[in-house]
Amino acid sequence: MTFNSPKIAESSKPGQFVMVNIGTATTFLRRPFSICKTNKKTFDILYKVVGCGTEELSKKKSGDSLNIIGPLGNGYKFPILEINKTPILVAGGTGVASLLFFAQKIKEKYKSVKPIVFIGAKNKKEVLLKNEYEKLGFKVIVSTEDGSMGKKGLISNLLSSYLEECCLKQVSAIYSCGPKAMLKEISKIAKKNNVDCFVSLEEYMVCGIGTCMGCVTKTIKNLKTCPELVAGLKIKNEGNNYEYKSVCKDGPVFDAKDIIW
Amino acid sequence: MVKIGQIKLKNPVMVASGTFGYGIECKDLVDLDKLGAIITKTITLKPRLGNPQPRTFELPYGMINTIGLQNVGLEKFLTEKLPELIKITKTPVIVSIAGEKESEYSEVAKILDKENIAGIEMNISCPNVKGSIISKCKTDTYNVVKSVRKKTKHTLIVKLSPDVTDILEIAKSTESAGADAVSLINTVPALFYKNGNTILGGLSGPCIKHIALRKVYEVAKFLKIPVIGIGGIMNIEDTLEFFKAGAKAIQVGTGNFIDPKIPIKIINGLSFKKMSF
Repeated sequence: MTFNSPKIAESSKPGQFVMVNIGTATTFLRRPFSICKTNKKTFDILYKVVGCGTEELSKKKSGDSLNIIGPLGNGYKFPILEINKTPILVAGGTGVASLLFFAQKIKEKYKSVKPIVFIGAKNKKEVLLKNEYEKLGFKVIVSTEDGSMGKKGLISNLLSSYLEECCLKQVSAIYSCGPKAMLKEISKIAKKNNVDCFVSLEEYMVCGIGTCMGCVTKTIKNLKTCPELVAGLKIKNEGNNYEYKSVCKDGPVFDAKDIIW
Repeated sequence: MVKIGQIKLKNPVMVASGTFGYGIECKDLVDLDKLGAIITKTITLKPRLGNPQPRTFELPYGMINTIGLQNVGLEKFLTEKLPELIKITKTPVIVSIAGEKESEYSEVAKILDKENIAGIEMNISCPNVKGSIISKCKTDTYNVVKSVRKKTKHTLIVKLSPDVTDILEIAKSTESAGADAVSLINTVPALFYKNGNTILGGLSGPCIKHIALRKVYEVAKFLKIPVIGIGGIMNIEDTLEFFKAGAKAIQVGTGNFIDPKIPIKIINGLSFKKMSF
């Protein structure tokens, strides 16, 4: 869905999102959507009809107006790319949206880099934006759970075997957006291979600006004081070593090392 | 202008605790200087982690939350959050406070007494923390308000729960303990199910407006101190209903989540109607 909003289009950074007031009786709260791409005066979101909010959104017609707050949140940090280093993007389902915007900016900034995107989906029909990544010159690797496109299985398995075969020195970092279970797997794989990993989390949101503290995620409070958590071990008494950070304001992009899954 | 205790408000529209963060978060979206007052997120003596997920649940006309008073604690609030807020706005800042027991309330109030704030709102009605809601018992309410009153010269507002048999009895005990105003209502204790789990929380939004109106109505004419109305206020029409029920001022709560500009729209609406207070 494309929105005409020069202000949002100009000021958005990859990984940021907007809060859309769908404005019907059944959808009381605003809904967050990642910014998928921008043009001079417009920006796009990608959505899948999953509940009453997106159902209502799908009924909107060209020319309708919606009340939107944005751009919000902290986006992806740009990799400091050295020659021969490649960022790896890993997207699950509609997670392709925020990473596409990131991909667009990576290509604008570093023309010579040849990045890779892994796209995982349930089936062929849900493999979204593949062509858009290809147009940007990304190498696209696909897996589907039913095998109807690309390799059959989970995208995390595909990433894992890719990292085993490739030269890790050439990987700058992994950037991932998708379902929480997938992000957890990706961050484990990144840790195992000692590669930096940044994840964009999804959570039910209320305010989108860090006032309600509804969309929090558990994070490590102080890395130095908690070696067990750094080592990925489960500790009995988490005590004061964790805190809840808001996904909307402190995120949605986090360093995977900080998240307690 | 409207007077709540010693606070002179340029208009009767405030933002409710827990819906406006520490005020700072909203500076790009709302002209803070236009607000009647800012009531901060509830502060406790020590930092609180808050409750695990799920914390929120959406309904057609409202929501249920169980945040669990997550906050940075009094020390960090006074060194980081409050100075920043006071720097960016001249609007009166009222600090919402809570404690696990009476002594914590008075300790927090004592420390705040030296600070450059306009007032204190005692949150004795949060449904989302361990232990029972203080404002359900008139004796407990009297005692905690009395002990805070002794520690502070700031304007003292007490926020009450609607979940009581007789709201007037509770409101009267806050008045006799020395409160300068009561604000009602806090969220209505509620329950939701998510992923098979039973979650207790507080219901808010337009679906509780008429409960709130009734509570304000039951209390306002029998108290000497002013009543601040809260509960599902989304626009000027809602605001005028609260005034009709006897409120001297109002707070916008959950409405801030839907549109952070609602308080400003109400203020503009009131001045358009040339209402004087």
